[in-house]
Amino acid sequence: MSWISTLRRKKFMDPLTAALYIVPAGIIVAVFRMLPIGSAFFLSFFDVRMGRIRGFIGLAHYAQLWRDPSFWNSLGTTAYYVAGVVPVSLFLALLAAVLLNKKIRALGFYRTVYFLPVVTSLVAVSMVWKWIFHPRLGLLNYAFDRLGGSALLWLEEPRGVFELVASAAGWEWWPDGLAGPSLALVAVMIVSVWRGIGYNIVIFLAGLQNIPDQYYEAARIDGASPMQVFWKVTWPLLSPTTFYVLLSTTIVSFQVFTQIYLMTGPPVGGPMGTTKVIVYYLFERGFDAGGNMGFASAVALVLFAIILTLTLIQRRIVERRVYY
Amino acid sequence: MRTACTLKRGIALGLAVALGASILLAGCSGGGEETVSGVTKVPFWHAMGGPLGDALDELIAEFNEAHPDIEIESISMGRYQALSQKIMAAVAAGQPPVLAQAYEAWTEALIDNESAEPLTAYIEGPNGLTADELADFVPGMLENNTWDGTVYSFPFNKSVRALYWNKNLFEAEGLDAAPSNWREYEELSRRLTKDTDGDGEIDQWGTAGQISAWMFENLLLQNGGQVLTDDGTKAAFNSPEGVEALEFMVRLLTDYGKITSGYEYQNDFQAGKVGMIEGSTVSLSFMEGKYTFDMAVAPLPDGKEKGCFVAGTNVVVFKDAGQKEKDAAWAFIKWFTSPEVTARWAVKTGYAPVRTSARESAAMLARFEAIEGLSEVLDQLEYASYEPRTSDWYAGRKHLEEMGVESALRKHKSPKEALDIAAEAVDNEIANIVPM
Repeated sequence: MSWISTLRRKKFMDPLTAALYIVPAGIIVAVFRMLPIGSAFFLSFFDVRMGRIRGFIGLAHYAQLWRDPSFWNSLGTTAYYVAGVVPVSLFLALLAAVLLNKKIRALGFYRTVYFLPVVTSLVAVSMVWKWIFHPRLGLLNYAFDRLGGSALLWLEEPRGVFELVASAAGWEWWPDGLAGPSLALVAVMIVSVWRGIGYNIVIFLAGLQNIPDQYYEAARIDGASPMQVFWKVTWPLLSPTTFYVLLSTTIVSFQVFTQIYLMTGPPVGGPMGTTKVIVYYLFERGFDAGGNMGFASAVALVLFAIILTLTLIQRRIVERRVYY
Repeated sequence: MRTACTLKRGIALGLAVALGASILLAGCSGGGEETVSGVTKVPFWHAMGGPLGDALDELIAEFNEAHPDIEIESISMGRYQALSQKIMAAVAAGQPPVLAQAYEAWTEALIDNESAEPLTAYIEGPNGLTADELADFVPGMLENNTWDGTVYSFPFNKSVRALYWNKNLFEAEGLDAAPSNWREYEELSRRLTKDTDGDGEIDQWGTAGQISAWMFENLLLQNGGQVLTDDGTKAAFNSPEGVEALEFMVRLLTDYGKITSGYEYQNDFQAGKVGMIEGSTVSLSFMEGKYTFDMAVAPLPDGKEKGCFVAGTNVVVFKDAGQKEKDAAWAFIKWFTSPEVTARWAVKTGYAPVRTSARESAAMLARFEAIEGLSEVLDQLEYASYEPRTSDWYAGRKHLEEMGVESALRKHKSPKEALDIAAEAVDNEIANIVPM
């Protein structure tokens, strides 16, 4: 083992030790993350079916993707989903975290309750909510009925929510382009917010507890109102946490799949394809009969590019307002 | 002290490498069908569940009992989509099963990938089928499993659509026969749709159904239309015949019927709230014992002509399997499609027997006795057609269902607009540079 002591003398040891510690995790990440990403990139330029490479086709998959209206539809659906889930989840999580940060009774109980959906299997969550949303047997319509409201079709309603609101308000005509996400998609969004909020609350709580008490004391001495305290102390000092929650929720929302797969349809992505998000589109193209892995890889890379771009934009725009 | 430390590091390094290696190796082991104590194991992947799965497992157990040297391993994937994904992934990984249910589109993809075993040699081999036996298969069924003169798959669980009708509700209206044509279909649906308790709300419907391309395709055929053009390069369902068929379907299901999600329309029918429903003959096994009225089945009403599509899957054998396994799989296929067994399978499940002579078997005759009209329903096989069997159409049918049928049934678009949009999507699917 003299070579190790030689290395140590030459001060090479410490980086080497560090490297050794990284090896186990590194192998796992390399095999199960990097390798698939690399091969997806590679495969997207080839005609691959059933694991067999049939030849190089350059950018043909990307061209095909560009021309496919169902791709653009799935992208639009995903955009609605992200635009709905991210702000609502952030707002509700922050609100709950601020309330939970106060010294209220049974605090531990509330924290547990909010976190429960996060540790519950998403499959179980989806099945239960599918029943809750059931137009005839579901809990939600039952409650609506009791409260004198009219039953909704929920997961079976392809019409856009804005259109539904407009028609409830008595407007006979509403432009197709402004129909908004289908009620079915909104139902899935509700489940996603409900499911993911506990995690965001915990992150926000950790952020809130990192804000030193002196600032609050100083603000109180200066006679600041609770709203002023929130906007002048809490909000700026919480901004790194908010930024992280924004990024991670955006990324996770773009990749939504399980809820869609289990709650919508049949056929999945229905009604009328209004809940067919991009990852389901990818799944359908890659794994159904005669599945085309090369094409699915191209979809995955486009999704990767979209998420990366958005993250970079968020960094540029939002990070300027973050106080570290 | 220092040596102890470095020793520990050495062990840690060794462990780390071993861990990494074991992870890598774990991905490479497994698979392979081994012959233990002279018994040839044949994993059979299928999508049969519920009463169908029970019936299949019973028959498989019986086969295994009679063939001590063969063990067919029944592995249910639950549903067709999952089965398709598992097959494609297994083939990609080089570890396919020996035997699997497959739609024609999947078989075509497997042939293209050189993964499907041609069955012609087995048919002509020592344990094969005679010319008489081959002629006994229901006309069209073997042809639809033949590509360029080679048989690659065998009809396994095949069904046709039927009209189920509630005789009690019909009698209450002074009616005694199922509709035999579209005009009667609509007329009877109208008469059976009513408010029975006088509260101002409809509570009995003429018919009910779910949103499915399948019903439309059958209507299209009856109206003289076709799904794709003859050369299979373009959608043809948006023809005037197709538009008329979809208009009829919309009238039927929205004016005199109700649309439900999934199979709820069957529950409504079983509850005696619906006069008649269309369904696969397989629905019989799911409805068995769940209704209290007099029920009968009838062939689908005729349009301009008679027409119905055959649904259901076939079985394929995988090329990669060992010869012993493939021979065993063939023995099972031959046994399962024999007149006696296919008749019992048909009685248990409602699937159509794949052999003509099976209809004369005691089991089948007793079944015809028990289910009024079933014999006539199976007569539809004489003029039945098959859907296009390309994987383009497998993907295309989804477009037809989603953009065509669903959009029109929900009155989002007119039938013509909806079918034109769906046809364009299907044309795109077919025209893609890299076929799906």
